Amino acid sequence: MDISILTRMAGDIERNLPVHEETYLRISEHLVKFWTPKMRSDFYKHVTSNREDFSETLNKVVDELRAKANA
Amino acid sequence: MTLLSDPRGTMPMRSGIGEADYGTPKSTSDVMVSVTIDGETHVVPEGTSVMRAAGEAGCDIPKLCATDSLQPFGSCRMCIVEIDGRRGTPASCTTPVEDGMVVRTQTAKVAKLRKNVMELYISDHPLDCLTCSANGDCELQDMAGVAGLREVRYGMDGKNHLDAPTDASNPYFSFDESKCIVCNRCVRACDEVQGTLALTIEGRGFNSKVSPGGLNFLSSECVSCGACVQACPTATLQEKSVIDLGMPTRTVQTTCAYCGVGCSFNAELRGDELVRMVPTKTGGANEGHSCVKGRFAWGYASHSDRITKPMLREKITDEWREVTWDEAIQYTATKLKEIQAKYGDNSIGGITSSRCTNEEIFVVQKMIRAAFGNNNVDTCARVCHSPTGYGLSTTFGTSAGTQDFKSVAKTDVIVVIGANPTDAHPVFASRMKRRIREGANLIVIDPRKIDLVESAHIKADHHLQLQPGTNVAVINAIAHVIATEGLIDEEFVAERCDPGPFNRWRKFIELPENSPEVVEAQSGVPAETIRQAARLYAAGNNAAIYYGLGVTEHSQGSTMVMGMANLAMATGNIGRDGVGVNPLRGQNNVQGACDMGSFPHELSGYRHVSDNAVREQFEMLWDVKLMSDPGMRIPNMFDNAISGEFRGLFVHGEDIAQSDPNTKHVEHALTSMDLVVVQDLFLNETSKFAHVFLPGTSFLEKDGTFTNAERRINRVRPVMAAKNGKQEWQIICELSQAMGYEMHYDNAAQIMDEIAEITPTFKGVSFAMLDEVGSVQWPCNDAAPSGTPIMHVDGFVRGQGQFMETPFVPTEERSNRKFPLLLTTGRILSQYNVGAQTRRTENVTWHPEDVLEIHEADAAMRGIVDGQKIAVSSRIGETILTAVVSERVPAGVVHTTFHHPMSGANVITTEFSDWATNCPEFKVTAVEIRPADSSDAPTNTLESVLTKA
Repeated sequence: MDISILTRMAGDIERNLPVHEETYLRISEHLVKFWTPKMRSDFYKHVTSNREDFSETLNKVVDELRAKANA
Repeated sequence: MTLLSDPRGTMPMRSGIGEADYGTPKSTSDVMVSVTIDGETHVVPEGTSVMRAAGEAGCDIPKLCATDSLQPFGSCRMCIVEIDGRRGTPASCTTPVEDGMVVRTQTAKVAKLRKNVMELYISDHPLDCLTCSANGDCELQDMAGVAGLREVRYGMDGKNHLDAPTDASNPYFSFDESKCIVCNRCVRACDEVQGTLALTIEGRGFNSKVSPGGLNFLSSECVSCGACVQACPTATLQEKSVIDLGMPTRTVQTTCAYCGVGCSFNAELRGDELVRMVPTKTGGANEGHSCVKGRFAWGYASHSDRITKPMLREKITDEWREVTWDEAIQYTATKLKEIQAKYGDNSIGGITSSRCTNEEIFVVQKMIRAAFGNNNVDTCARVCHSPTGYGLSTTFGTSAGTQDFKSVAKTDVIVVIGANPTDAHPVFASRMKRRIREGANLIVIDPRKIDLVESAHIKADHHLQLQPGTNVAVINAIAHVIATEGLIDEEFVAERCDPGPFNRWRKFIELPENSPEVVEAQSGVPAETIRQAARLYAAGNNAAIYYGLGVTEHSQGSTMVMGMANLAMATGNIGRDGVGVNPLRGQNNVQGACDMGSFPHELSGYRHVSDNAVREQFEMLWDVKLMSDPGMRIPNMFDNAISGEFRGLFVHGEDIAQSDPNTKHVEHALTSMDLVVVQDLFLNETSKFAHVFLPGTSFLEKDGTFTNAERRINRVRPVMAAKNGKQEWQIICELSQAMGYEMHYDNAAQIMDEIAEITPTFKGVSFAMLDEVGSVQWPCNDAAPSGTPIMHVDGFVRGQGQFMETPFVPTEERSNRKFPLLLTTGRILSQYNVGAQTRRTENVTWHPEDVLEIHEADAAMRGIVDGQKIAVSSRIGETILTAVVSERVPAGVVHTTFHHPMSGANVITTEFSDWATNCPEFKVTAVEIRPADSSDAPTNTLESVLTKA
């Protein structure tokens, strides 16, 4: 899937959730619950390769995804 | 079964084969009174009419103007009785029983009077009983027999109505005025049952006659619900199918396959030929009422366009060739396996259909999970009510409406948000309108001035005519008023809801940004109107929210569902009769499709695939290893098809090329795949891109169950033999087996048994149980063996109700200089979804094409007049529609439907979707409009599609 679609989807989720300290956790839970592993993996790779293009929250999301995958 | 006879065998009846008619409605009083009728004493609820008390005691009183779906009228004088201590002969229909009353129904005096009355009726009635279309189903004929009429002393030569004309303008029924006895039943049915008030009695005395008000029925306000036809005691209002084919001789009770109301019908047949569909009074959802679709628009099942043999083609530009079932199944299985071998297990998937039975849906998702070996299953609920699933499960703990339909009769304040029930859920709308006529308040939140805003005897107290895309802002503003004006039900919240999320929500909702004054600028709704609506909702004793796709099909659809749930919890409007949050489901089995595990992340009963304990139960039962990660949603499938990762799709009874947004994108995805399999009744738009066509069965051929919007599981029984020779679940089983996974059932009942075995909310459900009780609302299990009409009564399914913060994030789809109008899409009464069924019926009489409603100012500005062909363009595409200048839409907003493939409304809708579920944003598309010229052609012809492909 085109990475721009995943980026837009993640951005939509981030934008529509209330801003709190733990928002990144809600987003990462959402991705685990509703995204296929490949979508998560592609998104993870893209964000970690272009961290400066993404918000602090989405950076924390991919870190959380990695932590979950390693758990 | 004997035609048209009361099961007790005492008196012929009209309202459906075998259904007794007690003449007046049942009393619901708990107080009992004693009455002696013809020497026998009976105890009945206070308020019961003498007629009904007698009928329930097996002592039928003759009647003509009375029927138990209508309030007593007392005009025909056939039901007169003698009552001890009373003067004269009162009408038994309008006389309520009193304690100790002594009634005599059969005396020489009343017999003589009844005979005289009947003689007068017959003196002005054609004596063509033997050739009359109602012969054998005519209450006048029956009552003449009961009265013992042997002669008409007045002759037939006097002034009469025997030459009165017949109005055959309606495609489904005729009105033969010469046979009318002016009993008023049709007029009262239109008033009391349907609530349209299209009929009236014109003239006085001898000149009195039933009139549809306009030139004829077709040009009148009549919505062809059939209530008048059902109420008519003679052949005056008669189904044309009965006139053409004759009286039915047998009946099969089944469930309508149109909208999410799920009406119960008696399919009445002569041999194997369906003559008419008559709504059943025992149907829990409809209680004897119907709409033009369910009552009359069933002819598509026998339409010549039906494909009944499997077909294959190597390329979509090839001609179809008919093949055997075996060849079609083997070819499909081989191709799917080849694709998986080449591109991986996740390269194929399927879509289940909300038009199919629970049993069919269950086996399709099982085939995908077990035989395809992945979770790439999704359902058309993705494009309609997936935000309902997300929002209600997050806040309440389960993905379903909270009430039964009857609940609206106890509602004091009805809130309709983004729904148009009179068009899309007409039988429920009739219930709702009845309650409004009784005095309930009504708040409508909708960009359009739908019929409920103002129509006959209906006027909304508040119409919040918001700009498309601002639902969340408005619901937040309503909640803001409730929170800041001390209208929160603190006791309910403290007792029933999680305090942490509530306190956080309260802090959020009280922010000035959520005030009506701020929201007025965003939504266009005056702040004071929002405040008044909020106070009305919060202060009403019982307030209920009913909503539709105008809530869900937005980029903030899930947020809005949670916003409504917040509102219900904050005001304590949850967990009892008359309240709740209620999705009006679009298709007949959207609820069931979701219940059956059609979503890529959930197994049946809304249990996540990652739940090891749940998954292990399925693995043990199905003897297969299941994936623990979610699969692809429909939009993911399309996007992955375009990128080459997703190569094969099984489409079960959906027309994604017409119903899904951004048609060009969908077509690109479909043409990118190596194998598209379509199982359907007709060669639809999607089949233009298919390589295999597997013929399906209509609802008249299916054996199974549908689950309606109130969680009611209804039986669907085969009325006729499957035209394709197989039930759809059998086809799925054969395909599964051909792919290497054994799946076998002897009948559909076994599939429901498996559903019940593995799904806790369905544990008590079986065909035998449904055949015995009629229908049941899930959860139906050990805790609720008779089902659950109202949910969250003593506590929420998730334990404590969870408030969710609902920030308003405007859609990125905005009107601008290039596309200054906002297009919103919807449905119309006579058509259904993509129109595959209704377009193949006489319903095209009312809606032969999709049109664009446009405000007169917007039309005038562009030089557009009513009826003109116009080009509608968005940043995605352009289509051609006919303009209808209308006051229903405000300036700046236009509206169309998506029932016709030629107009292709989804050619212009966009890729934007709900943030949580990817439900498409059908309701907001920025467009521009111009008069069409001769070079503009419909965009969705077969030729244009194949050229693009």
